[in-house]
Amino acid sequence: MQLTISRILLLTLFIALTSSGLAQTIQISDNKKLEYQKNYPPKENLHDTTYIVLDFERELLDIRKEVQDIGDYKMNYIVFTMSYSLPTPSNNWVYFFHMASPPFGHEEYSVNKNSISKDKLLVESDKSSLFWYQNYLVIREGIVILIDLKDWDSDYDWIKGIGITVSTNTIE
Amino acid sequence: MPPPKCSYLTSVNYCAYFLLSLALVFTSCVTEEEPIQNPTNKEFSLELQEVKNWFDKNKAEFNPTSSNSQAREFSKDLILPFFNKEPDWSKFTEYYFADGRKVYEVHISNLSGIMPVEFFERYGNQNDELIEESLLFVSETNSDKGFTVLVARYYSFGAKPKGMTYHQIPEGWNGQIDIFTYADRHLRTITIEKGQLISHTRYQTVAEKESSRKYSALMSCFGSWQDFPYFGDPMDGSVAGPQSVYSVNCYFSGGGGSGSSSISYDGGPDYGSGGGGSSGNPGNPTGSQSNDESNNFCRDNHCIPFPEERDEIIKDPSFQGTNADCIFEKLKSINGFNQVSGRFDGVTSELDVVFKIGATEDPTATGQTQWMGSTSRPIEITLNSNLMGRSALEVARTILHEMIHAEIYGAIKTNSPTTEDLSFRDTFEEYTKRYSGNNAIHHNLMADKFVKYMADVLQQIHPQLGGSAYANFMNYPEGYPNGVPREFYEALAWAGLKDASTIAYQSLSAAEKAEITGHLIKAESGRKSCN
Repeated sequence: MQLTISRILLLTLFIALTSSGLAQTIQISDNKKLEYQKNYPPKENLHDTTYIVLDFERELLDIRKEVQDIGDYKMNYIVFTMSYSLPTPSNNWVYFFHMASPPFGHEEYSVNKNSISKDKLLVESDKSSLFWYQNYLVIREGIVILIDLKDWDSDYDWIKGIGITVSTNTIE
Repeated sequence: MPPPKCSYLTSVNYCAYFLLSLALVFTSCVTEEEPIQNPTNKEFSLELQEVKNWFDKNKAEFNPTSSNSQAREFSKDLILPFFNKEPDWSKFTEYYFADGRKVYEVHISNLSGIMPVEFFERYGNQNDELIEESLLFVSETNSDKGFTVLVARYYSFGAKPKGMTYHQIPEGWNGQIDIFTYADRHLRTITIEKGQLISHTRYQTVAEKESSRKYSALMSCFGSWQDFPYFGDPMDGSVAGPQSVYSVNCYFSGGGGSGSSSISYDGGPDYGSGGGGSSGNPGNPTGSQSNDESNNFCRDNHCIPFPEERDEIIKDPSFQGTNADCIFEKLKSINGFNQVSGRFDGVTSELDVVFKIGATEDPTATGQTQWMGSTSRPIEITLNSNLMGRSALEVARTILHEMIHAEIYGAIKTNSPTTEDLSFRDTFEEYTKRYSGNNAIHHNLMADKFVKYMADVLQQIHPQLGGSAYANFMNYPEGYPNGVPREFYEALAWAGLKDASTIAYQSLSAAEKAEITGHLIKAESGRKSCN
């Protein structure tokens, strides 16, 4: 009897270790605060995650970063603004913004880049502004994690990612 | 039911036999009736034939039971002498009320000769060309009951439009519609100016008790005694007399009737709808009769909607029933478009607008407005189908923005400009000298003159689009702890006006632009659903 219990415990431990080894992404921040739990509108598809690789040194990219005082907390607010000259002459601005504060509560992650499936990966340099305009509303329904191209090309398996929301400049 | 299709030459004979057989079957059912002449649609004539059959069978029951030789009969309601009514079955229109009841409106060939005193004083009694009378056969949801039969009398103060019908007020029409039961019991007088519902009036022979009426907060009603309101010279004597009647006048708020009025009365007999009717409910599609009195006037659980002001907005099937359609209706219900278009120096364009959802020329645009090259074609507003999943407030902003484009086109392109149109054209001319390209001209004009008005409308519509829930989400430090600020709505109005060519936007400081962007980012977390 005692032997059986030991076996079950060992098996459970084995499964737990195996599962953690397979994890693609680990949340490393605690930006969503309990006292603001009413300030985060629910997302429609929390189980879907998209990874975007962006060259943080890309041309026509503006990165604006500020630290916001949210009550007792200091929280990051980063806006990546990309301009595109094609395919239309309009001002094609696409935004990736990381807002740790409500109402988005974007988190930071450690990502095992080897375990990301291709269908979940978007490389920004491969995409036109039109792609973002046509797809950003769908993409943003799940979790979106932005990765710097430098990290993506590095030798490390585990790299940093930040939660973002994709947005566009409205043209009407 | 669609007619049988005869696609191939070989099947022509079969189809001909089928149609002939069908015709024989139906004509055999109506052999004793005069065939109704309606050259356009055989099915319609068959349906109308059923109405006629039903009416011929039941009309004796609608006539007043008591002798009615006197000019007026006093009860609580004002009842005029009974006038014979000869429907001209060859002149009819069919339509549906919003609650799904089908209506057959049939022209009356012999005018009653009665008219409002004010109308008589203005036009005398030689004015047949300004009067039209018709019978309304309103199909009842209970098929055993058949139809409610009403009399509509139209008095045009000025030109009489072609094809006057009850359900939709002709654009710009001035006049009065009087609704009676078949037995000439007065139900309502509806006053219309420039195509807009102004007021409705009910005449009584006794002063109304306070307890017997219900008014909405938006409805102003006043009761008073007045001189007898009708003049007439029927065969059996004069309608007019020395007696006074008690008149209850209710004024539609905001100049627009539908949706803003609510009044009902208890007591009194019903419309005289056809008791004992047989099969007479041909094709009532949805069936339920609305007792919602926000758009109706009611008596004994029968409600008749007020006529609709002519809607200049055409909804393409791609737009109908969508979330955007719902948002559009909410904007309309707060008079949102008029609030903004009223700022065009009072311009009200007579041009039609059609709303679509589909692909835009610029695939990155949330919407576009196209002048179709002629005043005979409606201006087309297309909302980008790929970008309809934004928050409801953002979609409302896009609809409003595109409507302003349409109003600008309407004002500058109309063939019959008003003084206000001409004034607006002067303003527009200034912008065409300073900017090139429609977008630059329109957007600079909007930025200079309409941002605040757009913000007003967005602020008003937001409570109907989840505004309070949104305010709760945003109630945190650095959010909107003191409620959603005015600047939020002004920032929303700026979206779509941030082109490089929009001078007013480019003149804003970097901090002001950043503030706008901050608000716009927050707006993205709003509720998507209209309801």
